[in-house]
Amino acid sequence: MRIPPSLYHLIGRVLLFIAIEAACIAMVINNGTIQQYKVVGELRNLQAIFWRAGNSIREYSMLRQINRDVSIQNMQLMQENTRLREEIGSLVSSNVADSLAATYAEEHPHFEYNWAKVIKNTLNSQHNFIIINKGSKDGIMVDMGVITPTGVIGIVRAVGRHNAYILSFLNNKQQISAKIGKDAIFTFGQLAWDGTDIRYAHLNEIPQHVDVNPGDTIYTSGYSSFFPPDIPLGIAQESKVINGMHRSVKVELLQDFSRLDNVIVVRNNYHKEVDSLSTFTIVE
Amino acid sequence: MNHLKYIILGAFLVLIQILISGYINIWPMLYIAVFPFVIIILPQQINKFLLLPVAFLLGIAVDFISDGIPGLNAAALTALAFFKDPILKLLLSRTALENLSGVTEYTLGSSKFLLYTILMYSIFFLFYMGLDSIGFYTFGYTALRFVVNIFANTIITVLFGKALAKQLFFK
Repeated sequence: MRIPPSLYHLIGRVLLFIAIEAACIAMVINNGTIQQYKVVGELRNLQAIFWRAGNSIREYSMLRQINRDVSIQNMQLMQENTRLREEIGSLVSSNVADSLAATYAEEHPHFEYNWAKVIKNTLNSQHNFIIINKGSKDGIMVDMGVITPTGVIGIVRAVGRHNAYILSFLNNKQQISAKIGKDAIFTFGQLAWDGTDIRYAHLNEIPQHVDVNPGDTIYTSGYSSFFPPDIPLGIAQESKVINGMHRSVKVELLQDFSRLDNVIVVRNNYHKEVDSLSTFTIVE
Repeated sequence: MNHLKYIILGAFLVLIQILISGYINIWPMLYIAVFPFVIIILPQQINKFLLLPVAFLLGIAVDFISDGIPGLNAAALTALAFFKDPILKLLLSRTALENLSGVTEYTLGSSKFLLYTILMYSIFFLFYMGLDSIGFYTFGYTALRFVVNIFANTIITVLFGKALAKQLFFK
C-alpha cells in the first residue's frame, strides 16, 4: 500500500510539534534557570538603563508625596526609637531580660543588611519581578532575601554588576514560611500570594483545629534561610478549612507593593551551610 | 508572496507586547497577548511545517524579552500554530480554504473570524494556563482566568484586525 505524501507531512508536523512542546515544558519545569538567570540577567542590565530613566521621571513627579511619606516615616521612627529605648531601659534592669536579649543577639548575628532602591517593579503578572539599583559590586548575591520593615519582598535570583533581579513575593512560584499566634505560641504555615489582588495573600497548611482570630499578626517563621524571623507580614482576615484538612487564612499584607521604593537586602552568612545540611543524607 | 510585511508585523507586535507587559497594570489575572495576532492572520499558503518553529521563535522571544517564564508563551504559540490548520478546516470548506489569502475578518466574514479567534485563543490559553497554573490554583480560578483572557484578547484581536489588517495588508 502506498502512503500518501500528505500523511508523511502530517506525521512530521505532529512529531515536530511534540518535540517543541517537550522542549518548552522542560524549560518551564526548570523555571528557565539558565535562560532567566544568565541570558535574561544580561538583558535586564540593558533594560535597567531605560527603567532607571523612567523611574527618575516618576520620582520627580512624586516628590511632594515622597516628602510627606518621609516625614511621616521619620515621625514613626522617632516614636519607635523612643519606645525601644524605654524597652531597652526596662530590659537591662532585669537579669532574665538581659539573658534573653543576649540570646537573641547570639541567635541571629549571621544576618547582614544592605539597603537598595527599587528601579522596576511589576505588578500585573502572575510572575512579577523587581529590579534594584545594587548588584555584585555592592555585595549583592544570588539567593539573598529582600525585605522591608513591613514585609518580605522576594529573593534575589540574578545579579548584574549594578543591578539585581528579584523574584517578587507576588509570584505563584513563591512561598514564605510564616507563623501566626500570640503569647509565644505560634502555628506555622506557608504564606503565598493568591494571584488576584496584590493586597492579599493566603497562609496555608495551618492545622484545622487551630483557632485563628481576625486581627492576628503573621510573622516570618525564621525556618527559611533567606529571611530573619519575626518580620511582620500581614494581618489575618477570615479563614476557612480546605478539603477538610487544613485551614487557609486570608492575610492582608502590611507591605503595599504598589508603593515599593527602598528595600533591605538580607545576607545570611550561614545560608550555604543550612542548604547543604538540609540536603545531607547519612550513608551507612 | 511578500513575507516581509509579516516579519515587520511580528516585530511590531513583540514591541507592543513588551510595552504591555512592562507598563500596563490592569489586573494580575488578565494577560493581554497581542503577538499571536501575526500567526492568526498568516495566509494559509505559508509552509505549515515552517510555521511551528517560527511560532516557537516568536514565543520564546516574547518570553525572554518580557517578564514571563521561558517556554510559556513559546509552548502556547506553537500550539496555536499547530491547531490553526485543523480549526480553519473545521470552519471552511476545502475550496474556500484553498482560495484563502490572509486569514482576517475581511476574508472569513465577521462571525467566522470571531469564532476562529475564540478557538485560537482557547488553544493558546489552554496551553499557557495548563503550564502556568496547574497545581497552583483551583479549577474555578483557572477557569475564570481562562474565560476572562479569551474574552479580552478576542476583543483586542478583532479590533486590532479592523484597525491594522485592512489599513496595512488588505487594501
